[in-house]
Amino acid sequence: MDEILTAALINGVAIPIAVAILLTGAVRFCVGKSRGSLASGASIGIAFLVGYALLLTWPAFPPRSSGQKIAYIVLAGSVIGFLIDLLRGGRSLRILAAVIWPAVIVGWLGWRQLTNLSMDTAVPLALLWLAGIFIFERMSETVEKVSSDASVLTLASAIGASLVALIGASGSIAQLYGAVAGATGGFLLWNWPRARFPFAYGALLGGGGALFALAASLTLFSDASRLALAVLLLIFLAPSVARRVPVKEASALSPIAIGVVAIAPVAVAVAIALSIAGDSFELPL
Amino acid sequence: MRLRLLFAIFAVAAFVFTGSQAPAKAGDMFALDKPHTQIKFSVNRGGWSRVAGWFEKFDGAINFDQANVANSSVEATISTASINTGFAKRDAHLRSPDFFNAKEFPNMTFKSTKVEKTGAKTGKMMGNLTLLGVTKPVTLEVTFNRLAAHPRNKKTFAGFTARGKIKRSDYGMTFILKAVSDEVEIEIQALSVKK
Repeated sequence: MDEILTAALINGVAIPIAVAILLTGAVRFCVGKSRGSLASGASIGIAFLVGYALLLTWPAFPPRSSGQKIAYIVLAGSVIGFLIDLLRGGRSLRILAAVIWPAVIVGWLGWRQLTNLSMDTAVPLALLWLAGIFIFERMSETVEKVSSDASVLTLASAIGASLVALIGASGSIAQLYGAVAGATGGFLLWNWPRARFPFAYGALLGGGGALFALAASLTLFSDASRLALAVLLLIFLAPSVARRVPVKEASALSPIAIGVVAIAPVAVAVAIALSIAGDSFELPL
Repeated sequence: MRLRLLFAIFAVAAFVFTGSQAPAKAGDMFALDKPHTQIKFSVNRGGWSRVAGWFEKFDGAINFDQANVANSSVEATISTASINTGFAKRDAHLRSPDFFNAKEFPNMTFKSTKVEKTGAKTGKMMGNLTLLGVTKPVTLEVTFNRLAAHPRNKKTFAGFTARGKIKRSDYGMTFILKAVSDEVEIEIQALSVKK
């Protein structure tokens, strides 16, 4: 099965990294310094979609399953975000994006639960939406500010969620999280050691959309440990903790400090997932 | 005036609920005898071997017209979460979003659209299989085994065997197509009891 693992790493991680690097640079240089810097983050979502198509093939339209809907959510998020960045939407849209975008994602993925609403279905949907608001609010802090913080948060949470998904929940979602990590990693390479581009609306709605939509799918339709996924939310508090470390906010060490802080919730989440899964942590096919 | 209106409403309702319905096909209605019916499948795993499994929970009805088989029809609903391959870990994986996504799509359904007689005891059944929210046409090769009364309970039973193939990718089930074959072989051993 090494051939399968290699293919998954190439298609799901290496190619999204390469696509994100190329697209980020292309948008920056084609669109111009000011708007190009803002819009370049849309490359995360597009690079993720390339990985998605290589791993699972491009889904038919209209999409039927939550897994298929994720591709269209990320496509829509990347395009809308890209346009907002081109029109310089600014911080005024930040709260709107943080509240409405997760509601759209939860609403579409959880449509069947919404149409048969009961306490059993309403509570997880409401909690998911609140988690989404928290994630998008934290990631949108640097929507107009040149910073690597949100990229590091996306990368760390994608790696953590990929591991949690792999532990007896869903190999395909684990692979797709690998594509999110790869795409974000490609964008991050432009922003480290020196931050160049903001994590603007293209990155937020596309890349952040991929991150959250996969989490929603994992929560609603898989046996992934919800406690482990909830622990991963602590990653988004990492910048606040890292600021206590005596490192200049704009220095090359700042994203590393955030990444190091983010390791703790990832480790705890993986430990929880392993303890719950018992001896069934490997996907048997 | 009110009485006339009420009468008119009843007349329209009666037409809608009776007259507009398609006439029922001639034939005898049979219900699946679940303990003696098996809905099985098998896939090729990495070229090494075939992995087989079956579904434990299902429901269905057969309208069987032995005199004119073309009038026959079948409808079945299968619980995707009831998959069993004899290995609990694998079954949990098959229920996950990687394959049957049983929490999102708890059932798959089959509804026949056409039956053609091809031999004395054989036929082709065309129908629509809905899996993961996607509906695609499927053709099953059907063998009619026996129609007879049970010696003890005197109930009339009809037995069939149906075989077919589908591509799981047609239904959006595209995870690890290189490791687990796209082509899925289906075999149904159906015993049905006359209603």
